[in-house]
Amino acid sequence: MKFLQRLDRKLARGEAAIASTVLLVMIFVAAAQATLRNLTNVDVEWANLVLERMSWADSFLQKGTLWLAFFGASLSTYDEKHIAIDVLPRLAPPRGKQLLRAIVNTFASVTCFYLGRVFWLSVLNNAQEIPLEYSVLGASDQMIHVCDAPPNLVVDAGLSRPDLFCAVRDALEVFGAQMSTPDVALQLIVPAMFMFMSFRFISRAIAAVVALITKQYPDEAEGKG
Amino acid sequence: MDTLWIVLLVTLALLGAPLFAIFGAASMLLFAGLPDTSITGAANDVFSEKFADSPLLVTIPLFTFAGYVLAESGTPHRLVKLSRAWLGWMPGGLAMVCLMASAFFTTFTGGSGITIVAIGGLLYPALLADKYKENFSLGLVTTGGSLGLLFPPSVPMIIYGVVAGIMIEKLFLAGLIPGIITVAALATYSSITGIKAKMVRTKFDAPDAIKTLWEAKWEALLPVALLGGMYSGLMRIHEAAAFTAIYTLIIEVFVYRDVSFRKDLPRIIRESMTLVGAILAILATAIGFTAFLIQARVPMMILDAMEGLIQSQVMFLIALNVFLIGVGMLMDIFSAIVVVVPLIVPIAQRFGVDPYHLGIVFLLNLEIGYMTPPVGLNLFISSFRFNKPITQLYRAVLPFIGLLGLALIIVTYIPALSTWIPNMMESTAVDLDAPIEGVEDEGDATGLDLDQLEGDDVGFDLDDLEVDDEGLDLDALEGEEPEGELDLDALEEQDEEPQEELDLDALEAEGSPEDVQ
Repeated sequence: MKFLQRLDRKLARGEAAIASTVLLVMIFVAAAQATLRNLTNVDVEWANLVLERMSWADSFLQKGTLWLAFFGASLSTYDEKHIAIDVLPRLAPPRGKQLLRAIVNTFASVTCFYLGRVFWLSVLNNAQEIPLEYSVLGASDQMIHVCDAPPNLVVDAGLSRPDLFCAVRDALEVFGAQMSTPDVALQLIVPAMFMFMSFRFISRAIAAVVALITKQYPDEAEGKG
Repeated sequence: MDTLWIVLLVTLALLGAPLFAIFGAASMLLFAGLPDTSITGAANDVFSEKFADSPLLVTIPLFTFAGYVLAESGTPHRLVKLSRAWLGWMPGGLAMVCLMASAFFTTFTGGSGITIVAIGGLLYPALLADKYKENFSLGLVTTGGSLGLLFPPSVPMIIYGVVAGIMIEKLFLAGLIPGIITVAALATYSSITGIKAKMVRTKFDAPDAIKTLWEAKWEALLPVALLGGMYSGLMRIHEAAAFTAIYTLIIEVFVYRDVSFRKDLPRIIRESMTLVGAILAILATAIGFTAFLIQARVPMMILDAMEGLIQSQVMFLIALNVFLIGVGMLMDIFSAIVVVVPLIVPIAQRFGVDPYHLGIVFLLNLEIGYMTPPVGLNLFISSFRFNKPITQLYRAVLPFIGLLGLALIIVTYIPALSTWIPNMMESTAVDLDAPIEGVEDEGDATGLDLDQLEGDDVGFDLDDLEVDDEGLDLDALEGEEPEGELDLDALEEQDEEPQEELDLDALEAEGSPEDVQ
């Protein structure tokens, strides 16, 4: 149990580190985008060139927000800070509090598991569609994903192989997820974090049951940050 | 969904289950009961412009982060000193200080309770020391926790904009006068209390006032720069959010040095993202719930049921206020927005309520709901922070609820208070809401109205156009005037619109009544 708690704490630190990095990069990207856009309005030519190269920025900000949302949700689970009607848990005596924790955390765990499954299917569904910029016409007139196509066909199609994405795609294929684009691959954060939250909720439910059995009721701060 | 499931979910919610899990479970159960429909489709909405691809969503983590940085820095101290120097001479001066500082702070922290901890924590002992009655002081700091919700850039306003599919810049403008009315109502009450109790007033000291303004100049500049940047067209909404985040980061880390980049910042980011995660988890899971309500035509069913009972806009608004105060008493603001807004927007459109007016009425109701017994969030935060029984808080907030209720009545029944500034600002751009010749007034259900189309699921979504890469960016068109593209201002002036360009007026005029049903 203690090993799991230590692992959970380390994972939460990792999540917070990722969330911090994503947030700071998002702030600078959006601020740079605003500055450059205003510079282009006063005919600064280099600003226009840089802005054209930053066409990924809007998509990055959207996906960054999605990642922040779900890392944040997972951290909320860790810190037990999800929005809830917590009148009864506040008023309950220590034993009742643990009983309520066991019940609601089990329910939340089961729900997160099913939500994770639903979003997993949804992402897989999205991944079936391969956009033209990721498609190459194969020898038998079939469209092949740019990562799966022979290098000569990729060059003939006027495309370049996105090596980093293809490496991630190969890694994800191990889990049965064949992603079509980086955007779809980034959506995997949703099912992944729901599954992870499911684990966190059930571990809290188990801790509450253990507390009920041993009659050792931890104070409010235990298990947090 | 069986009654048994409903009872079970409501019980679990009352037992303290996370609300996002309640919405998620409800969505899955509801879709399981619909023939030929899969929840996977509704889940996909999370990746669409309804959530992940919404241009507004990105502003939520950025503004929340900025609010947390301000809360963790010396801003509350400087703000209180500033307000005290400028307002302390007035009758009820310290109470006034509390109102102003709270309104400023809640605007940036979104009524998440930080104001009560940061400003209330500072001012509650000072109010007692100045001989304000305990219940008045408790009521004041608790009310302050949600006071700035109608001022930009409050996060609940942004969430309302996302869910209702309306322009957030216009909603921000719509909230200005109603926001001032709420602050003015409470300020008047504070003054009367000060006069009645014969409070000692501090003398206005001009050099000291200027000194405090100079000390807080960077924070004082923030709302000016933010609103100026947004409404001058220099910044789009998400850029304004990034500007606010980077500006607060720079002033608090490098100028005032109140926040340490290494020691404090990781903790602040973590705490702010924990709140963002809690809010957005509800928003994401409630999308499925909302999709079900629309697929099952629940708003239309409510509308049909109401048809015999409510026939005028005024009656609808009265019913809406009663309903929303009930919602505010039982639900937190974020859940209330995501669940109730999709239900009431189509109904309000049928009664000809301006969507921005509706937004302000909705938010003001929930502002009151934040401190309405039995489960108003601010009551618990204050009870916890000031170590007072919850029942004392119930009594303490009553006069404040009454005053805000009065402000609500004024704001609800004089729509111009919400619509005047947005309409005035819009008068230089294309007037999408203007009645068209030969077509009846916008309030009439038979007339096609672009705002209705925006809100309507089956209709044409202007936000889709905005977020679609290949689509038409109306903000960009309004803010910039690139060559060869559509110039909305020019459109207004020209009698003949170019054929290949988008003709909004024609769109409005050509639409058939069925399109909006």
